[in-house]
Amino acid sequence: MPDYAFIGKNMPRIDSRAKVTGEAKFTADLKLPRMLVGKILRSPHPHARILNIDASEALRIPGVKCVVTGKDTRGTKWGVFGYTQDQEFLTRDKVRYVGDEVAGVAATTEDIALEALDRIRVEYEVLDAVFDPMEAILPGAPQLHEGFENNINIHVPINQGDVEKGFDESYYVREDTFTAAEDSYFQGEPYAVAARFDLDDNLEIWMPNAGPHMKAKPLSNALGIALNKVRVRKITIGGAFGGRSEICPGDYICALLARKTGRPVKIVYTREENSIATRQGHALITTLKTGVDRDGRVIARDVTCYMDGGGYSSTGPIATTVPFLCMEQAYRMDHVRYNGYRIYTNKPPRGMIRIHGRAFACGVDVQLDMIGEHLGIDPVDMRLRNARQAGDYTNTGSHVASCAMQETIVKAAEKAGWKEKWGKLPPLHGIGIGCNSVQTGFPMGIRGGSQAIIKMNEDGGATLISGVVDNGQGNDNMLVQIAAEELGIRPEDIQLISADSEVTPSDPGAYSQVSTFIGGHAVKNAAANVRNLLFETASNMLEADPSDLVARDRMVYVSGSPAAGIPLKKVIRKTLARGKAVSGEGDYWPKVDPKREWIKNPYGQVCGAFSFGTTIAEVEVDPETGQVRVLEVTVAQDVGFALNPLVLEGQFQGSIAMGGQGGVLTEAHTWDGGFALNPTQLEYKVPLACDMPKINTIIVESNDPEGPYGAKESGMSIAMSAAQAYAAAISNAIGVHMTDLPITPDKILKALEEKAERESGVGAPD
Amino acid sequence: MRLPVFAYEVPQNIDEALSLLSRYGSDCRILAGGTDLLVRMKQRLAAPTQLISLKALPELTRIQESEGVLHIGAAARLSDILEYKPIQERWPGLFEAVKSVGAPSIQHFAGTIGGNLCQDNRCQFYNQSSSFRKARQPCNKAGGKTCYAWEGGSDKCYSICASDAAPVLIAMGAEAVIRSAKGERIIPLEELYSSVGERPLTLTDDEMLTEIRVAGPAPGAGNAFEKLAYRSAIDYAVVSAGVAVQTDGKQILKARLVIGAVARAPLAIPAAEAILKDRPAGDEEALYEAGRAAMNTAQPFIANNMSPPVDYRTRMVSVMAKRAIKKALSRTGLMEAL
Amino acid sequence: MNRLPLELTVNGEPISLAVEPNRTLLEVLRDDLELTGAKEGCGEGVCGSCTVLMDGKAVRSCLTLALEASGSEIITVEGLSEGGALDPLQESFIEHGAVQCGFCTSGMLMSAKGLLLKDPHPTKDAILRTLGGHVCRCTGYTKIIEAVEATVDGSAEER
Repeated sequence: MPDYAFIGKNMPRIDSRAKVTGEAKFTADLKLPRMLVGKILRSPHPHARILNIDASEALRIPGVKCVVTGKDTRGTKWGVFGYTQDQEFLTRDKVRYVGDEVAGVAATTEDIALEALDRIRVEYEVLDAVFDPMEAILPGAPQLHEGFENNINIHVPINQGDVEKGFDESYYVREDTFTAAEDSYFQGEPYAVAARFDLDDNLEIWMPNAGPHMKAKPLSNALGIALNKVRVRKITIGGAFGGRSEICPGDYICALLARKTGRPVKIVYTREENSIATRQGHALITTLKTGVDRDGRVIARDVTCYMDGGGYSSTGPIATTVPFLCMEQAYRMDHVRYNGYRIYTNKPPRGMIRIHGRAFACGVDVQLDMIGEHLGIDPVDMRLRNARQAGDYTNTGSHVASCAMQETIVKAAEKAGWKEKWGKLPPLHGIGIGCNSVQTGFPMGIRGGSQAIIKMNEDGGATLISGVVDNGQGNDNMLVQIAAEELGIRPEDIQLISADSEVTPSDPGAYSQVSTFIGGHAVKNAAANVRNLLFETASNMLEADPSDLVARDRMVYVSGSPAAGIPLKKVIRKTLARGKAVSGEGDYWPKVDPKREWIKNPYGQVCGAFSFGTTIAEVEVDPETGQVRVLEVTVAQDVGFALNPLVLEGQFQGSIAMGGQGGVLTEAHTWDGGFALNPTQLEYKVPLACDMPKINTIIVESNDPEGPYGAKESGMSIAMSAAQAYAAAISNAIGVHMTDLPITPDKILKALEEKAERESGVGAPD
Repeated sequence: MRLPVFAYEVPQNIDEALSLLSRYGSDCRILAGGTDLLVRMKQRLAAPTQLISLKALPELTRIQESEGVLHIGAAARLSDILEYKPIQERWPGLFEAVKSVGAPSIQHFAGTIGGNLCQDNRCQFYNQSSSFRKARQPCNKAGGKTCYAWEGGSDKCYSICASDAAPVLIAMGAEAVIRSAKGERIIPLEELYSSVGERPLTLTDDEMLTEIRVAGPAPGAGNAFEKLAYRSAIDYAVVSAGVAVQTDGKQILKARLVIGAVARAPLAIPAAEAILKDRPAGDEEALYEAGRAAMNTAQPFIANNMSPPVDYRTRMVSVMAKRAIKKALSRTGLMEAL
Repeated sequence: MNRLPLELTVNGEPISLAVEPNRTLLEVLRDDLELTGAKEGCGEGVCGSCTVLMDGKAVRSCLTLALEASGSEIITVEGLSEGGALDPLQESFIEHGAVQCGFCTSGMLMSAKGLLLKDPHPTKDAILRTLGGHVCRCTGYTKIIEAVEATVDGSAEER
């Protein structure tokens, strides 16, 4: 490894100090002069036609400044893609889920705004609703949107090789169905938005986001103002996990209220609103048919997945494809077919989530265990035999340049004591393994690249401008760390200006795992350009070739002779004196196949790199209550190169909590028709400190040839492999392969009971 | 989330508090820790126009043992109860129950024993935001005429008493001291509960719980509490069980078993008590029989009022009962030694 | 609605206000005193993000009426550092990477501070129980637990 000053070192995050002192401002903390309180009236019906809205009574309340409804909008429909534009920010015709936006209110106080919501009279014609995707696709089911027959919002068809032939050639074929209920983000910070307009119709807006530019464009479309008039400002963000990548109707409503009243408006969502009216995870029903040879190598796989998409498209085509991509990247197979259906139902719209497609991903791994059991092959061997390897092409045609999947399997198994434990643990004590892969980004067309700008001051300090946003994962630190490394200065010498749609160039955002790979790369390139400029000057001063120079510790020197160096600021001043500005820019665009399209052409290079990893969990099940105690979890993850191990470990641990501990043991929404019964943290069981297991983290480095310093995505896919490992460990403990997530105590007891009945022959079919 | 409008008074002694109560009646609520009441007020499940603070009444927070009887003021903080050594030693069941409530940063200051015992009944269709509830016909507890927790509806309210402290205190034969401007009455704690979901307490509008009294365990006695929850903190019970047993060192002379979080009131299980009487302390089969009896008694009450399935909760009654009895019995030797 | 006098000390400063009875301590801290370090994550006492110290004890300020705090001494996360010097807990959170999005951080810090004020040598179990009253969605808690443990004097065995 090269001798880096900051890269590869544990670096406490630059944003931590503001956060531990309470200085960091989140959107709800903003207070602007004359600011009004905004509130949103939401649909109480899962499916209804709006006949009339009468806000006259609400408008008569002293202190109510404005009420907006669909009539005040341009009727622009939002969708991530042209063919998925189906959501109005204030609906004019129909409501499609409990929580759909019907009206917005701005008032001088929260109490007055709430009273106004109560006084808006909405006349609805209640329509039949449908909540189950398998019912929604039947003829005669209530239709949510025109032009989407049988409520099929998205169908992703992929067919590579000859699956039927593959099954014919297989030694063993089996088909299983895996299911999971909706999970949810439960970001620490409930959604909030603050907006103001100036007299020239320029919008300034703050909200948690996973890409300011991704927010700015739809706002510009919906408000009918130029993109450079929409200024999404930087603000501290309390988590995203995939749920804040899109525009939120509240953003638009807040902006509209601010524009109409001429005053700043802030809307702060309740915890319940954050749960039901932003995004949720998809519920999934996945059928996997897999054929293997005698040694357990997968020859063919046929996957059919039905995803409950809720009322609107959201990131539909992406969400419908990503679970498949994760599978095809993680494991080799000769032939594969995929039919992914995203179905509209009268439930909250579903988006991307950290543990995306948990029933899908878990199914793949649990089924590998089922196959291994049939063939007498150890789960670790099953994975080693099927693992992706560097140099491979995935079935849909992506080249995998770096991959240390096998190394992660071996290292995790070693650390977890797999050999000593597999098959040798006492009853009700189990161990399980899961592997996964996630793509470092996906094709985003004109928003696929990032650009950074650096300007140096004569005192040796720098200002770094980048569109990358920090949702809490540490992106701000990553940008500064890279710039400091490349420029040879210290992190505290750098001022970061980021995540502002007005002053920073475009960036893909933080929701496709590319902040480092693309945004960080752009910073690295920009810094290298500035450094080259300085080296040009310094080469004269030091009488050396620029290629022999090193910038480090605020000095520039000839490699190997730091004592004979000159201060960087002197080089800057000299350059300025030469009549050259000391600033530069750099960009980075991933090498993806521009012709690849999610539905029409799902083939070709999907992204620049892929990460891989393994999680092993060990559990103990209480046979009387069905409760699971997780004893230890081991993660080994191929991150390409660890820029900041301290931050990575935190990502690993957070992924275990969300994907395994919560995702498999407790987390799911429960429903009464279209009503989520558990929209709060009391009833939706996010894991707590006292229930977390010991976690071993192992960083594996495959040094991606394209990634900055060899880095690639790191952390998200662990949520998926954790889910698989937890599911496998429970299955191993109770001797029943569990196929329905989350695996709650009642399901475990039921499985144990059915197994006992089978084994004793009681109740067995004749 | 905003609280509704109310007036607030801080009486300087109990008599003043009681006179305020009798003056304002049903428009008034007593504010102790606020962890139950203020949440319900934010959700508009309660809208008293008058709150009476117990802040200036230290006499209601006293915890003391005198002549073998434990006295706990209704406004005693849960954290103070946990730190009171005699409770850890002689009433471990109460210690366990209190420890399982919420989380330390709720207990330290806020939660009180009276608040835990007098908390309103809960149901997943009732403890929701006002926007959730406004979207449907009100249930029995919300002043309407149906029950969403009972398939097909019911004219009865199937909410549950979620108090963790009540089952074990009732099992131990605790008494409740209740005062009003008119006077004082002392009742067995179980009589505090009405078994009516809409109005789960038997207190009249002018009354308040001021103290809990519970006798110390005699030699050969033991008590215990078990709670099943999906998380180790910030969680209500899926099922809980409180037990007090009296043995002669060999045989069970008397046992009381009370199941929590399954019915409108803490549910005593006389059938289990009958099964356990005169059985040897180490008789495992007796524990199973008692558990089954508890399950059979509880079964008709268990409704779809929380997310874990009804069947599962029903079965867990037997497990929690059995475990609590076993633990209480294991403590009988300990009690002798004291 | 009648406003009632509220006298309290916040981060060492005497505060004198008149507030409506239905205002919570959290609202007064955030809206009147502009101390926004305490957050509203749920409003119902579950998430712990609003935790502050009231006479040295950690309380949920979203479920505490401002008037109930009358006469008491409140410390918020803004008052944890004195004269620019961070509290050892704050330093430890930074060093151990215990902060990700930061929304739960102030509540975690205040609960941990409350625990250490009461018991400078808490057991690991006591630390877990204390932090167990807080919801964090980013960290998986490991580094938060480590950060608190690191500020406790003496080795784990001694405790």
